[in-house]
Amino acid sequence: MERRAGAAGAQNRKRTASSAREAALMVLLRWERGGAWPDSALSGIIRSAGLSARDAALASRLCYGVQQNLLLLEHWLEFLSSVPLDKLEPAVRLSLLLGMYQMAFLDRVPDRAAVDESVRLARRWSRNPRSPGLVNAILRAFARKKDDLPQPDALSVRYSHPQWLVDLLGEELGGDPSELEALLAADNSQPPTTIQLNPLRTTAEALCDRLRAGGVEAVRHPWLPGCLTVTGTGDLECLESFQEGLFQVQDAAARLAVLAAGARPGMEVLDCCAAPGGKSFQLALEMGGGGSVLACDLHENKLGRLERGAARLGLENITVRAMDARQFDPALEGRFDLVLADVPCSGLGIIRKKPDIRYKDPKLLGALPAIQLEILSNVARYVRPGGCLLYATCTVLRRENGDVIEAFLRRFPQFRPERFTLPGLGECPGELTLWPHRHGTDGFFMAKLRKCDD
Amino acid sequence: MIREIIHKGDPALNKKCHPVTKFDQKLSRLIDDLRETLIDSGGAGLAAPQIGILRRVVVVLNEKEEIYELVNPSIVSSSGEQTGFEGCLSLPGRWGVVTRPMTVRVRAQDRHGNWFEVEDQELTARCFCHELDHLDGHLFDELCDRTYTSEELEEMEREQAREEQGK
Repeated sequence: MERRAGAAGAQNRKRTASSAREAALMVLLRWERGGAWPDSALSGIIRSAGLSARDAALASRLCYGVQQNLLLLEHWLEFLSSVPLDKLEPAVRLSLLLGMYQMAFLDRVPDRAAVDESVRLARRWSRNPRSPGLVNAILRAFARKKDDLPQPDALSVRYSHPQWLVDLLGEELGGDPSELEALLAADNSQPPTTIQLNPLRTTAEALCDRLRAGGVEAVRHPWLPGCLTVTGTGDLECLESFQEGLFQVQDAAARLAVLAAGARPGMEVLDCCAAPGGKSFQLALEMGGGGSVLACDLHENKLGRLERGAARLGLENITVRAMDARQFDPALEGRFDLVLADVPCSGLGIIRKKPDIRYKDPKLLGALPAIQLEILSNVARYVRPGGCLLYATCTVLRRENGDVIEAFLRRFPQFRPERFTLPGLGECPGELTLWPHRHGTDGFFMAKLRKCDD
Repeated sequence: MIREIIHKGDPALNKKCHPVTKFDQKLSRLIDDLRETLIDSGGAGLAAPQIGILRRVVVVLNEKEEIYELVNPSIVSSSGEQTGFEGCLSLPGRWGVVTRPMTVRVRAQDRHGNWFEVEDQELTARCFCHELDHLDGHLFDELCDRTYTSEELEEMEREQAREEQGK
């Protein structure tokens, strides 16, 4: 049965959020039911509720905050609640977690307000008449005791990363406990928003001035040219300067991958897993509008966004089409000077931006290396002799990164690792892993391979 | 996996669905797909025939946004009456006035085959009736004199609001 949005008086009206906290609750409920990505649910619910920029920012902070601290908050709730957690209604449990998060992590929300708002949520979202009282009692106890709550020893609980993930990341970091803790802390930090300017349309100074005039504070990235770090923003995509194609939102890591690829004017380039398009756009910009980029993605419904992005940035050297990167297309064989394979991955490098990734089922991640090798092996055939292949992921796991490259090189000995030089990082011997706690970027992997002439 | 919702005109929507006899992995996958498709659509309920599967399975959202999974459901009792606009994901943009019971009690099996009963009212009761009709090949527009487009409906509501302000 269909529901109606925003029509007064209709019985089957879709529920809209009346406050930032209710919006956060609705997003978290949908996420827990397992059918919605928090980011897309968040923007949808904020839009349909018509929240102000300030409330939208609070709703988003609350959603991220509860996801980032879920295990810690539940640990505290278990300590305070007389009712076992799995006996609480989902909406009541989440109202409690939202209230606790505000009191423990947000300085500007008075305890009183955090308690009252959660009690209100429980009243609205629970049919059990005792729920508001329960929420009130638990949150008041939390407010009293919050300075001497039990601090868990386990890193998994302290930083809300499931144990399997803590173990896995610890292994990747060679068992160094202080580095592991630094990574887990970085995963829960609020990353700066970085944007890449469009050199066809503006300069760093001019863009900084434009953004400042629009109430957005922007400074040049400390070591990456053409990149700005932005603070105090709502939705950047609403800005006029964005609509005019002066910049795109993209992490420094993605830009570094494009720089490592070394696109030059006049090249023929293939980006075989292109959506949402950031790297394709950067490749096209690197070529100064000359040469051509064929941007492909498996999902046809993502191509519209790619096309609109290219148009916005004024890029005429991009062609967009649907393609399965695992299926060989003879028409593309040996055609490209450069092929970029930014393959599907576990995403464990971008936990600070998508906190829900850490709660994925680890069983689903096991199949990825085989898919990654399959894509890489197929698109390698599209590289012309003497051309280059750039493999990239947004994860830090060796089995999806270096191991895939090793297996590929065994199978295709005509490819050799190719050195590349990056601003701020110097010369890299063919591959590079970026870490949030070391580089301040997303966790990311890139490997450059050259196809030999013989 | 989000599945495509088929629209009126597709013969699958007019067929009587078969009871579920095997409570296996395949059924679980179907229910998971129904859940995902329902949430993605923003609707209140979804029946298996709406994704082209002729099995007696529906999912219904209650007021708390929790999902009931109902296999081989039947209405065991109902009471009261409500009259209001109803819409369907298989008839996008069409709305009609339908009278339904206010409270409905449903008996159904869960995905493992265990029988249970659930009672709900208002919108959720309406949704139980609406989704169970799908399993017998019926759409809500058979129950109303005419349907309205979303624009017509909004215009009617604006008029009603003006009248109420006038009073």
